[in-house]
Formats: sequence, C-alpha cells, structure tokens
Amino acid sequence: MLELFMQTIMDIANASGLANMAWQNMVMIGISFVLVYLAVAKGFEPLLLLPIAFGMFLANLPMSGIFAEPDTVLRLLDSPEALASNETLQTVIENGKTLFYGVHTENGGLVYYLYRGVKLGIYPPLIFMGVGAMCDFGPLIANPKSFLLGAAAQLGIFIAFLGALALGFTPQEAGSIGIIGGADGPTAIYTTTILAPHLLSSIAVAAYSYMALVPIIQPPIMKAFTTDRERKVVMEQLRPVSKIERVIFPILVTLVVALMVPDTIPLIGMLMLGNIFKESGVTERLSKTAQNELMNIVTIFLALSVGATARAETFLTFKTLGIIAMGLAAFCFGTFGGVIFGKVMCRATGYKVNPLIGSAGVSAVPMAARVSQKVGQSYNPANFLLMHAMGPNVAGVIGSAVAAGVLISVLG
Amino acid sequence: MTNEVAQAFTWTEAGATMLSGMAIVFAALIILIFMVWVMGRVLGTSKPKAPSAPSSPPKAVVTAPAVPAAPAFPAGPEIAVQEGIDEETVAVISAAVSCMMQEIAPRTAFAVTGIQRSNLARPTWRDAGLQQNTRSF
Repeated sequence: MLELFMQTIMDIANASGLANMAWQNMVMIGISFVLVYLAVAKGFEPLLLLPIAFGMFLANLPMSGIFAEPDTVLRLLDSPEALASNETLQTVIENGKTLFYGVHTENGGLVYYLYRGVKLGIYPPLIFMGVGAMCDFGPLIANPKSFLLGAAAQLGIFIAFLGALALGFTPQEAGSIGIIGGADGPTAIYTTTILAPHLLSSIAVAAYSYMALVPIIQPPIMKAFTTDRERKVVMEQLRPVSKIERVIFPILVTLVVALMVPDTIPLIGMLMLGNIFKESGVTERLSKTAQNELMNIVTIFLALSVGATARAETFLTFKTLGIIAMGLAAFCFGTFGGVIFGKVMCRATGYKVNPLIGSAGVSAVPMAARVSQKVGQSYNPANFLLMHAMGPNVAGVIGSAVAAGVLISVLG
Repeated sequence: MTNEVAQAFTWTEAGATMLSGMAIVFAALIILIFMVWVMGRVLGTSKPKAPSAPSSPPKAVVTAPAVPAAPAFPAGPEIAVQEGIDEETVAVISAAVSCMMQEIAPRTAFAVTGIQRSNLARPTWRDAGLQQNTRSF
C-alpha cells in the first residue's frame, strides 16, 4: 500500500514541469522576467514587450505544450464497430487484408493557432491599418520634402544588412536583421516571417527593445553631427492641409508605392486603408475600431505568439548576440543618415530646415519625433519641432515599408 | 537557406542590393514628393494662416508716471496705435491693462501710451499652449 502510494507520488513528480526543467528553460524564463521588468518598471514599449515577455515565459515552461503542433493519432481497430466517437474511420488494404484505423487528431497548443496569424502574414498588416488610422500625414503633405529625410534614414537598414552578412548570416537573415533599422515592429516581423522565420523572436525583441531605447540612442548621434547654429534653427510654420488633400494622399501613396514595389502592398495598402478611414470622415466607427479594439486585439495575439517563438534552442545562440549588435548598428546608422541628410537640406535651404528632424526619419512613430522636439527645445526653448519632425517620421514608415518590399523581392 | 546559396551571394551582389535598395526607396519617395507637391499646388492652400492678429498680437506700451493720477481722470496722452489695429482691440487691451494694474499696483497711476505688434515669432498664448501640449514629450 505504502509502496504503491510512494510510486504514484514519484510518477507524478517525474512527470512534473520541475523535474523536466532544463537550464536552458531557466535562462529563458530569467530573460522573460528581465523583459517584464523593463516593460513594467522602465516603461519600455510595454504594450508590446509585456505580452512578448509573457509569451516567452509560457513557451519556456517545461512541458507547457502551448506551442505544440496538432498531432494525428492512428489506432488499429479490430472492427469498424470499435470506432470511438472522437475518431474517424480510415481503411487500409495491406497484403490483401483490410485494416481499420481510428484516426484522432489532438489539438495543438493555444499559441500554435495564434501564431498562424504571424506565419501567414495577417497580423502585421492589420496593425499597420491601426497605425494608419492613428497617423496624421498632414505635416508630410504640407512639407513633402520631408519624404527625403524618411528615405535617408533607411540607410541603417542596408548598412546593418551588410554588417550581418559580414558576421556570417545568410542574405535572408541579414535582410531580416537589417529591417530592425526600419524601427517599425510590424514591418520587421512581416519581413522576418517571410525571409528568416527562425529568427523571428530575436529580431522582434531586438526591434522593440531598440525602439524603446530611441530616446537614449539618438540624442548623442544628433548632437555629434550637428552644429549649435543648426540645432537652433526655427522652422517656418506649416501650411494648413485641406481635407481633399488628406483623402487623396493615401490613394496616391498606395498607387505609387504599390506600382513600384508590389511586395509592399500588404503593408502600405493596409496603412493607407487605415488612414483613409480616418481622413474620409465618413467611417468614424471603422477608424476607431482599427486604431483601438482591432489593433489592441491583434497586438495581444501578435506579441504573445512572437514571444512564444523565443525558445532556448533558437534564442540562446550566438546569432542572437549578432542580431542585437546589428540591430543597434541599424538604429545608429539610420539616425546618422537622417541627420546628415537634414544637414544637407539645412545648408541647401539657407538654414530653413533644422537637421534634428532628420533623425525622426527612422520611423518609430512618434517616439523619434518626440526626441527631435526634446533635443531641439533643449537648445532653443521657444523652438517646436514636433510637427516638423512628424513629417519625416511618417515618411519613415512609408520608407521602411518600401525598403522591406525591396528586400523581400530581392531575397525572398 | 543553404550554405551553398549563401556563399553564392557575393559582396558585389550585397553592395548592389544595398545601392539598388536605397535607390528604389529614394525614387519612390521622390516621385511621391513631386505628386504631393502637385496635389498641394492644385488643391491645397499655399501659405500658412496669415500672420495677422494671432501670430503677432498687439502689445500695450504702458508708462507709469511717478505721481499718482488725479482723481478726476483728465484726458491722458494720445495712444500711439500701430496701423492695422482696430479700436476694439485698443479698448480690450486698455481694459486688460487697467484690470491687471489694479491688481498688481492699485494706487499707481498709469497710462497706455502705445499699442504695437510684438515681434515674437509665436504669440505668447500659443507659445504657452504649445508648451503645455508638448510638456509630456
């Protein structure tokens, strides 16, 4: 009796998660706790980093099965009458003898199904629709030259692409790593899902972490490459933009970008669909849904399932270190490219453009524009660069989507 | 991606990918600049709001004599009003100055001697509003 009791206890203990905990699981759980801390205590992109971290935590619990694939079980039957209610009958003729099998499919883990939205490229465009519904392209329409800064700041993507190749990554992996420099989570996830899905978790964590660190990464570069006079440039007030311009703009951008780089249609198309919801003024309910309920729901699904892909065998590798290093390089060179082009525009226009708005071209809406505003105001308290910086900032969203389309079409 | 394919991607191809990528990004956005510019010329307003009253508000020039004002309120000196500022604005500014002076220096005589537009790039109230709205950034 006592022996049986002890045996049962031992069996249960051996089958528990604790007995199956490997050191890799513990490290990954530790990393997820660090990310939870960064999201909660430090406010690092908490809307994304928190569900990513929790997904990582759940996926690395031993025997959690949360990411388990559906399993098909075959059971040999004595006769078709022995078929269970949850089975379907499959008949196989083998060596002239008829065999009956009961086929039963065991469901996969919860995140396995949620991840379909990532794998099939559904979530990132839906999030882009919400971003579009929240974006104000007015500053960009009023000052279309801002597009140039959004283009120049994509330099980081391609420099990091070369850097990643030099570190030994494959071209597809390098392209996915480079897109971190687009400072655009959905674009990075979308591109990585197509080019290098095995790096998805590392790239998503690096992209969102660096986006949260934009206020720390960018100012030293902005200050290093601008003069005191340039930083104090006060820009002219932007002209008001008419409603008809705001309505035509998303159609125009979709038409031009989609015709040039068709691979960007899911991203740019949804971004501009969200924007036209907002600007048309006749689809207020759709606009609100896109930027609130839908975006929040999709964000939870996306972040949770991306976090759950961070398992020890893919995350605890030297490649992750390379991704983190190249991600930082991508952000730095993106900022550098934007600021240098801002300097060129500043000189070319006779000090009418403040080069600090160039750094906002990396995307990271609206964080990078806020950084331009903050740095500019620290040199001239009466200077308000926020709306001027929003132009290159939203141009950066379009620019990084175009760059992603180029990488997908060349490397995909 | 196999190693063979990875190795087949030479540095020349990598450089070409980078250059063509940047070129396509710039080309797409330059075309957009042109099209948005044309759209702005055809459909948009070409200039920001006229910098009339809101952008450079009239400023009162107040002088305070050393002696208290006579109780009978004799006619004071003529107010030098800058061209373009209407009488209502003069009245409102004078009333505002009067209220303020009663609060901060109730027994001090004063006279509004002139009203002119300030040379501030942005009106004080708009400046205050912007400061308030962007403080969190």
